[in-house]
Amino acid sequence: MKVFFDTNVLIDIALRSDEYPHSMKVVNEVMERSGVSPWVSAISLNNIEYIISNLGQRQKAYRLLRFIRDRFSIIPFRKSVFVKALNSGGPDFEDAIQMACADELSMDYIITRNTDHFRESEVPALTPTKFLEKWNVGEFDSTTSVPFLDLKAQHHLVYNEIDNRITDIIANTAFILGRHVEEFEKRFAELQGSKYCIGVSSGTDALHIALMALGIESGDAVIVPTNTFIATAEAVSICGAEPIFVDCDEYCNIDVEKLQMSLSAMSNELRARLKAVIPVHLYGQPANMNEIMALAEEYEFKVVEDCCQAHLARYDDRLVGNFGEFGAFSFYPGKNLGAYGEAGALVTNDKELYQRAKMLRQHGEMERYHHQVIGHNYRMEAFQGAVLSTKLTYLNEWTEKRQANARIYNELLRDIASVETPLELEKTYCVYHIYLVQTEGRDDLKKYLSEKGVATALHYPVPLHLQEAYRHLGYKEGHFPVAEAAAKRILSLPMFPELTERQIQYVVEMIANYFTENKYE
Amino acid sequence: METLKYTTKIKGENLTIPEHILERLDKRAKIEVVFRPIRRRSPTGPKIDQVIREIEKQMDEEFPNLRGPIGKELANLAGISRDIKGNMRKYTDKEILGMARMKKYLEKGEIIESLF
Repeated sequence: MKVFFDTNVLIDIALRSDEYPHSMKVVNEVMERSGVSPWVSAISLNNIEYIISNLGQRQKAYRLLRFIRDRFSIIPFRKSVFVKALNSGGPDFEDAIQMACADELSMDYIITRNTDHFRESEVPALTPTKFLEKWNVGEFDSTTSVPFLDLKAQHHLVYNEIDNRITDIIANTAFILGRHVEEFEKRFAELQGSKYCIGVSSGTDALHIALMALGIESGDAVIVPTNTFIATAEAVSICGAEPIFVDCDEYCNIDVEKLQMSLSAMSNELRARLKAVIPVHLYGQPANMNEIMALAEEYEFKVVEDCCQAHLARYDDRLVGNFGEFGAFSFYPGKNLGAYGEAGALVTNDKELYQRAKMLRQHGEMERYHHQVIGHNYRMEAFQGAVLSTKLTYLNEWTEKRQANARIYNELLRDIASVETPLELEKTYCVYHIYLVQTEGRDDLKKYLSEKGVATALHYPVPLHLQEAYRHLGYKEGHFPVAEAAAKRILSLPMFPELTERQIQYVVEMIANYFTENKYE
Repeated sequence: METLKYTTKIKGENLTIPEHILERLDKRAKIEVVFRPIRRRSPTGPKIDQVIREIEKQMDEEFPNLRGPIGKELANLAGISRDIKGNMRKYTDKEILGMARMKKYLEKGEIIESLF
């Protein structure tokens, strides 16, 4: 919940806490509760300084300003805000500006002593007393809907720093690559435990560059799991190579036994064409990398890890992306580390591959306009580097919160026999990009949850070998029974770091209600 | 000789003149005795810590589901109305803001120039 404070409520604290105890209490509650963030308009800051200083409390004014600097997000006074305030015709121009600020950043509530001045506000305005009364009776805690993902919940932590960085990019007109992308590459390589990182334009492009750097081309074959997002196989197809699908195991990742069977049953012709395998650490659960790497050695193929859903995931105490030749990451907005648009990265520990991938990212050039090979335009935008550098600071914390949420789900779902919770492979640290359950009657449950305000998703409803785009490869229903059965039973529940325990309880209560009403149990 | 002022306590019928004053008296000195109640300088209202405790108590009673202390960081920022400069207490925040802005313009001479 994003709460916007009018100047007067903050001044009350520094000057008249005895006269306005509710102002003190409401700010205190917003500070103390998780999931609630305090916001203020930039225009309030100079007024706070003027008023409190003129009342003989200059030191206090600056103490309050430092407190705001450290604990609040500040909404800039942009021209868009000014114009909106000017057009509003409200009784007080300063309040009109505050109203426009609160609206611009989609605040949930404005807290002010003079609600009359905020009557035209699209954001509901409440007095401190009214706000506390509502909070006291649990009005803000009641959950009647749970989104699948809530990207707005991260705004408070990152908004001002991202705003500063974006202003820097605009001021310096350095829109492609540049220092924000370089900073991100350096820090992401460190965090992911890799020697090198190359920021690119998307996760799909990261996979494509990795395959290009490994020399995959027309006529080659690359093994991919059938239960994954299409980008994994598309990267192979874009290279002109043929994707060879393998079924998944009970962890929904590539089945290593079936991979081995597939390898040993391959004709000599196909084995000669096989150049690589792309294991996917799907949903944030690492694939069985020790066994895959052993097969890579035996059958002499390269490994590109698809880590697009597995930032900071570990297998056998080693971060994913460091087993194969490359680790490919996506920073699609909803990912565990999400950009404000499309972005991706490759990590590697091989200097030669790093240089080659870097060259391919920028039209095959090392030196400007001197092209060594045919490359592509896969550069990361500076804006995305700025967003990712800012958000990177919180990735460990967010990952731990995802894990904690998964534990709560596991615990609460334990007594619902019709629902299977996700399995974790031994020796893995799962990062729960997606919390996926399996159940019979999945479509009915999904519909029921939607009616009860719980958003869910399917990852993925059709395995790749049955997709129209790959019909030409000749796969049929029944080829990969585990993936096909899973596709009919899987359901992704809401999962994001800021998901509250109450929201998880609501989701599980609704699932339990569904099974009670439908007498499955 | 300059006028010397001091305060002293009256015990019974005796009024004591302190040593350091007596040392400075000469033959032409006049002594005027003015009785005036002493204005106590120590604050009469509660201290800020007490105010915070009072707020906590009041809020806990009013909002039982939001019970809890005021955070230390916030408590350190708190002020009470008697600390506001006496002559400013009667004005609202908006009026003070207006005055502050006016003062700033006057300092720059902008208002005066605009009047002519």
